[in-house]
Amino acid sequence: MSLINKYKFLLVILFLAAFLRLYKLGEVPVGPNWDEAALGYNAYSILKTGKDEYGTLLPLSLRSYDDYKPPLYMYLTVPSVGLFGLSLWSTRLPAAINGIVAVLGTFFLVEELITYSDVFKKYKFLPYISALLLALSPWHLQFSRMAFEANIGVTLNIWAIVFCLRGLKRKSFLALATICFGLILYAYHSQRIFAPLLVLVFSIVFRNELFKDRKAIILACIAGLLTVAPLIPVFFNPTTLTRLRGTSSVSDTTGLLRDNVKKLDRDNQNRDLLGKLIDNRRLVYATTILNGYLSHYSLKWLFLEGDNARHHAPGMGLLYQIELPFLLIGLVMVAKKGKKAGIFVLGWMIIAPVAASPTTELPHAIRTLVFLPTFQIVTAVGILTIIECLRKAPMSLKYGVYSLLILAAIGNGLYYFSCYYLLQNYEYSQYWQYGYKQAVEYSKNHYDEYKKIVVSTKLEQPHMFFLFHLIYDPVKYQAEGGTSSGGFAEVKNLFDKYEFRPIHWDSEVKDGQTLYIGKPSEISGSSLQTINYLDGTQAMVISR
Amino acid sequence: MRKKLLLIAIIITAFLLRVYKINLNPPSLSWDEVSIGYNAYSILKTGKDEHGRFLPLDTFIAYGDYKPPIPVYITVPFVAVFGLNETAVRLPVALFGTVTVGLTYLLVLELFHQQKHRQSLALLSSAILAFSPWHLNLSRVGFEAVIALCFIILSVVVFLKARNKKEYFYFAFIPLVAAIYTFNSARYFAPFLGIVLLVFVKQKALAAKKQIVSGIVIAVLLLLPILPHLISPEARLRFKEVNIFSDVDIVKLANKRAETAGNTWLAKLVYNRRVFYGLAFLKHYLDNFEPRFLFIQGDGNPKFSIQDVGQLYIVEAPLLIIGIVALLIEFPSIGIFLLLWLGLAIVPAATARETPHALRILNTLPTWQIFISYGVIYIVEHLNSKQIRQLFSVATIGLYAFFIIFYLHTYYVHYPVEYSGEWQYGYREAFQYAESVKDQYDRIVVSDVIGRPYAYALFYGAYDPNEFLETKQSGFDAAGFYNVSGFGKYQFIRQNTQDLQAKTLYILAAGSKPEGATEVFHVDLLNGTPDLVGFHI
Repeated sequence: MSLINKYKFLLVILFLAAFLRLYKLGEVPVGPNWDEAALGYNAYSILKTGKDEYGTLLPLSLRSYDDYKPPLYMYLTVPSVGLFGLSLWSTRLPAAINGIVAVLGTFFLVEELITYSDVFKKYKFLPYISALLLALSPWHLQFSRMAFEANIGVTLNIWAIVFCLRGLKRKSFLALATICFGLILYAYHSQRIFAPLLVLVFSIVFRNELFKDRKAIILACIAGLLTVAPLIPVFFNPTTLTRLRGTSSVSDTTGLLRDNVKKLDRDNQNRDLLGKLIDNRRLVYATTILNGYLSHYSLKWLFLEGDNARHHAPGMGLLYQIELPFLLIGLVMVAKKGKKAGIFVLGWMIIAPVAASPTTELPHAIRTLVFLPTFQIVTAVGILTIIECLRKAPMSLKYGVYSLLILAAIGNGLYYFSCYYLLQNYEYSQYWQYGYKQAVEYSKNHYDEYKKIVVSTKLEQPHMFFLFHLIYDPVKYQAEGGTSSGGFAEVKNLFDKYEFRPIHWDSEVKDGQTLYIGKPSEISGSSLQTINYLDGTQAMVISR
Repeated sequence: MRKKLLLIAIIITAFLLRVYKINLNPPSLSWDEVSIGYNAYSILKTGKDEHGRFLPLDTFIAYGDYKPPIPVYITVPFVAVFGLNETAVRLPVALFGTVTVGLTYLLVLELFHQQKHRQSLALLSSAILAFSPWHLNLSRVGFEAVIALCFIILSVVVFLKARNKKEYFYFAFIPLVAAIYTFNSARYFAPFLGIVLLVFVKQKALAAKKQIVSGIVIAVLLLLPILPHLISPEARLRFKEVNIFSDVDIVKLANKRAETAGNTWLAKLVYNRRVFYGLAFLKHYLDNFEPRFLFIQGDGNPKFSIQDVGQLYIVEAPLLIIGIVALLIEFPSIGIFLLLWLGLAIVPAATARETPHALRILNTLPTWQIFISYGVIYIVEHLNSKQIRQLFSVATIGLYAFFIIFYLHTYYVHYPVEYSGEWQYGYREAFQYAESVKDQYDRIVVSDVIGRPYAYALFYGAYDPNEFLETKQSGFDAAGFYNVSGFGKYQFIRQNTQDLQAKTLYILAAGSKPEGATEVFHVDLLNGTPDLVGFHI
C-alpha cells in the first residue's frame, strides 16, 4: 500500500501515457502505411509459418521492401498478432506499450541521475515532471502510435542507462544494461551507431564510478557480446550496406560537387594554387555533413514544422511551443549545476544527431528519435527552476505568472491534441497511404465477377497492403512464390487472382473479366468507383 | 601599450578589408546605391532631391520606397570629393563599418568594466567583428543598416559611460534618434533598446532623473521632423506590403482548420486566426536562428551573403553556445542584457515575410561576436593544463585562419563571377557607352529588364538635376512605386518594341536584337551569360 502511495503520481502519469497512446490506436493516424503493413503481415507470417514473406526462416534482417528492416519490432508484434489477430491495432500495440514503458523508464532514469547532481537533487519532482513531459510529448506520442522500429530503440536506450546507473552501485545490473544495448542493435539502423556512442559518453562521464570493478565490466561485456553475436553476419552482409549508401547525402557526388567543379576550373584558369587547395571537395563533404548535423538544432523544426508529414501532426512540430523558454532556461541550469548528470544529459543531446548527419532528407525526426527523453528532462529542469524562482516572489506576481503559464500550457495542449486527433487524418491521409482498405474491400465484394485483379505498382508496394488487408494465408502465399523483389522483379508479384504491375491503360485488354485498381492518372474513362483521400482529393480509381 | 597597438592593428585591418577593391566587388551598384548616390548629387548641386523636394529631413521618396535621409546626406561630401561613382557611394558605409569595429571595443570594455579579462574580451570581440562575414559583406555596399548599427552601438557606449558621468545622459539618446533617421528596421528597435538600456543601468538612472528626462526631451524634439512621415500612409504602405499580419492565407488556414475540427466553439477558439498569426510570427522569428542561415549558407539572397559561408563562421557555432551559457552563468545581468538586445533586434524582421534576413537583423551585431569571444575566453580560462590550452588556441586560430582565407578567396575570386547578375550588372557598361555616343542619336531607348534604368542613366551620366526635373516623364503606380519612363534623350520601356526608328540607340535584353539591326555593343555577365545588347538600324 505504501508503495502505491509513494508512486501514486507516477501511476497517474502512466495512466495518462497509456490513455494517450491507446485511445483510438487503430484509427489515428489513419493507416497502415507501408511499413506498418509490412511489419504486421510479416509478424503474421512468422506466427503461422516461422518464415517471412520471402520464405526466410526467422530472419535477423527483415528484407521487406529491400530496406532490410532490423527485426525487433516485427518479433514483438508476433505475440500481439497472435493474441488479437492481424489488424492495424494489434500491429501498433507493441509501439504503444513501448511508449508507456519508456515513460516509466524516464522516471527511473531521472531518479537515478538525481544522485549525481546538485540541481537535480534539489528538485524533488524532477522525475515526475520529466516522465509527465514524455507522456505528453508530441514527438514521443507520434512514434508510440505507429508501428515502426525506432521507438523500441528509444525505450531500450532509456532502460539501458537506468541499468547502467544502477550498475554503478550494484554491479550485476551492468549485464542487464549491456543486454539492452545489445538489443538496440536489433531495433533500428541509426541506433546501431548511436548506442555505442551513448556507451562511450556514459563511460567517460562516469569513469570513476564505473571502472572500479573490472570483473563486473568484463562479465557485462560478455553478456552484451553474446546478445549481439547473432547479428554479426548481418553487419557484414553487403545488402545492409546498400541502405546505408541509399540514404547517404554524400554518395551523390555529381550533384553535390557541381559548384565545386566550376570553382576549381576557375582556379585552374587563374593559376590560383591557394584556390585549388581551398576549394577542396572534402570541405564540401564536411560542410554537407555539418549542415546535416546542425539542422537538428533548428528551433523551427523542433517547435513548429517538423519534417515528413508522417512524423508530426499538422500545424505542430516535435515539441510544444510553450516548452521553448523552459528548455533554454533548463539548458543553462543543467550546464551550470547539473554536475555529472548534467554533463551526461548534454553529452546525450550532442551525440543524438550524429548518426543522422550524413544522410539525406534532414532534419529527420525518426533517425534522431534518440534525443528523447533529454529534451523533456532539460525542460523539466527549466520548469522547476522557474517555480523555484517564483517561490519567494510576492503572492500576486506568483499567482499571476502561474495562472498565465497554466492557461498557456492548457491552450498549447488543446491545440496539439486537436491537431493530432482531429486534423491529422483529414489533412495527412494521403501520406498514410489511405485508400487500400476500401480498394481491398471492393475487390473482395466483387471477387467472383473477375478472373484477374490488376493493381498498379505506382501505388507503391500494393501487394503488401493487399496481403495485410486480406489477411492472406502466409502458407498459401509462400507456396505461390512469396514476394519477389529487386530491380524490376516487383512487377512479377502475384498471388491468387491478384497481379501487381504498372497499368498501361491504352494497351490493357479490358475484357470485362479483369478488374483494375490504379492511380487516377493511370486510368481514364468511366470508372466503377473512385476512392478519395479524407480531404476529398482522389486517391485511387477502380475500373475494368 | 601592446593592447593599444593591437587595437590599432585590428582597426586598420578592418578598414582595409572594407575598402579593398570596394569599387569592383561587389561587381556593380545595386539600384538602391545608385539612388542614394544620385540623390546626394542632386542635393549637392541644387539642394533638392530627385523629386524636387528641398533638403528633405523626413524622407527621400526615391523609388517610392521612402529612404531614410541620413545616409543620403552622409554621402553628399563623398560625392563632392570623388564624383558620382562606386567609391563615393560605398566608402561612407565602409568607414562607418570600420568605426563600428572600434566602437565594439569600447562597448565591451564598458560592459565588462571591472572584470579581469575585459581587455582581451574587447580586443577579441572587435577582431571577430572585423573579420565577420556578416558585417564585412554588408559594410562594403551602400546599405543604410551598417550606418544605423554604428549609431546604435555608439548610443549603448554613451549610456554605459553615463553610469559614471551623469551628463552623458543628455546625449545618450541622440544616436538612437540618428539610427531612426538612418534605417527602417531601427525605427522599431531603437526605442525598445533605449528602455532596455535604462533598465540595465537602473541604479544609476534613478540618480540621474533630470539628465535622463532632458535627454529624452531632446530626443523627442529631434524626432519631430520625421514624425509626420512615420505615421503617414506611405510609410505604412511599405510596411504592410512585407508584413505577415496582412497575409490572408493565414486567415484562410485558420478557418479551414476550425471547420475540419468541427466548428465547435472550442475549435473556433483553438484555431483562431490570432493563434496562427502568433505561430507565423514565431516561425519568422525562429527562422533567424536556423543553423543553415547562421553557419552554413548565410542569407539566401546573394546580395547579403556569398552563399558558401554562413552569417557566422562554422567554427563559431560551439563557441557561441558555450559563450551564451557561460556568460549567463557568470555574469547573468550582462548575459541577459545582450540576449535582450539580440532578441529585440530580430522582432521587426520577424513581422516580415522574407526571413531570415541578414540585413534587417544587422542590429543584432555585435552581440554574437561578444558571446563568441566570451566563449573563447571562458574555455581558455577553464582549461587547466597549459598544453591543452595551447592546443586549443592553436586549433581555434588555425580554423579561424582557414575559414577567413576561404571566405576572402571565395569573396574575391568566385563571388563576383557567380553573382554579378544579382547586382544589376550591365547598366554601368551600357550607360557609360551610351553617354559616350549620345550626340550621334536623337533617342536612346532602354529596356528595364534589369530594373530602374532611369537611376543608372542619371548616375552614370551625372545628369543635371534641374534638367531632369524639367524633362522627366514620371508617375506613381498603384502600389505606390515611382516610375520614370523617360527624360532628356532617354526612353525606358517595359516590352521590346517592334517598329524601330532611325537615329535611335536601343539597349535591350541580350537576344532581342532584331534581324537587320546593327549591334554596336553588348554586355555579358561576369560568368559569361549574355546580359544586354545595344543596336541601331
